[in-house]
Amino acid sequence: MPTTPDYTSQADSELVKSSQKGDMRAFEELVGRHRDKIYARAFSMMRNEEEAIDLSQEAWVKAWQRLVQFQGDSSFVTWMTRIVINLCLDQLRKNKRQRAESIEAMDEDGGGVERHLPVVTVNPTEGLERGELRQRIDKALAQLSKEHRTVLILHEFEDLEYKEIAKRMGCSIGTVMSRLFYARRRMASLLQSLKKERT
Amino acid sequence: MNNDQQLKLQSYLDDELSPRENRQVTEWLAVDSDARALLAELKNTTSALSGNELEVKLPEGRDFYFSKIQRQLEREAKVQAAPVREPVLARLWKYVLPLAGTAAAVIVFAMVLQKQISPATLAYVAGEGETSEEMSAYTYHSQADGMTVVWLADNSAATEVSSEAIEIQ
Repeated sequence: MPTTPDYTSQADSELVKSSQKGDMRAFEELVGRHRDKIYARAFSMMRNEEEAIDLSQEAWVKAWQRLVQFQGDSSFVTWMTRIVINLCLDQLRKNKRQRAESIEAMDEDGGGVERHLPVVTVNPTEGLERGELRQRIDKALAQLSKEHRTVLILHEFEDLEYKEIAKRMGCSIGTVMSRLFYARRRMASLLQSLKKERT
Repeated sequence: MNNDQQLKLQSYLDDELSPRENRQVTEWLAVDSDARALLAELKNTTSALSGNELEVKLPEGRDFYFSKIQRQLEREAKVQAAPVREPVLARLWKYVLPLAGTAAAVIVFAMVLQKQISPATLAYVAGEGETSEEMSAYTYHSQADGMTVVWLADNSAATEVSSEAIEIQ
């Protein structure tokens, strides 16, 4: 009698191989392992629970359909994260179009506001307990525009280079640099304000 | 500090500059305290963010979440497996269109042909007053070939008596 494999003890690479052969139970284990991370990335970009659930779910559907294309050049979770990021970027563009605004026209980063922000000389996160720091960062991120937040997430959390971000967002490297600069300066300012609120 | 300089400073932080540009920025930082202060702020923000993204958990249970994915996969598999049924009109159109096209081409061709050789047309081209009860004349005129052909017919005898070609200037 054939025995059921113990999926929980298998590495991602083994589960991927089984899934590529059509083993849905192996795929279920992969979903179980990484669902929080994939949802978290969607949520960080969309800041909307419902949209994030739908997009992360869609990412898993796409992953199953394209699993044969996964060659193992990166880790499975990195590959999955790229899928969900692309879906979120598509959704952000759709939302933008619905608001009848051009994604290229979004140019608050070019308005020069960030150039006039005073430099934050004292590190506003120094000495903070990690949980508190994470809360503050999340609160500050929520106050950025979607475009600035996206650039910051892709650069700081996903370690993507300017060129790669520009390609994914469908904009120029100059726009990426400008948005990233604004996002960082604004984050420093917001983190400083949050520090002042607590003291 | 202008915008380009600010962005260059950021590229320096992100290691996106060429070795030559990198050296230039290092030299600039050595003499510009404002540039150093801005770089310190950018560095602090980057360090604070590094590894400090808030952990968010999916607000749905594992089984429920996966069952939704599975249902979606089943739905999409069904859509792909189902034969694509064309609407009746579209199917009819597929056959009617080539037939109608051929018929239209034949009609147009016939009309062109008829226009070129029709005796009525030729008679019209010849002009009025060239026919009588005993004689009728049919003229074919070609501007391109620089020629006019006139057919003369004897109506009384009901036989064609002669025809001649007249070169025009």
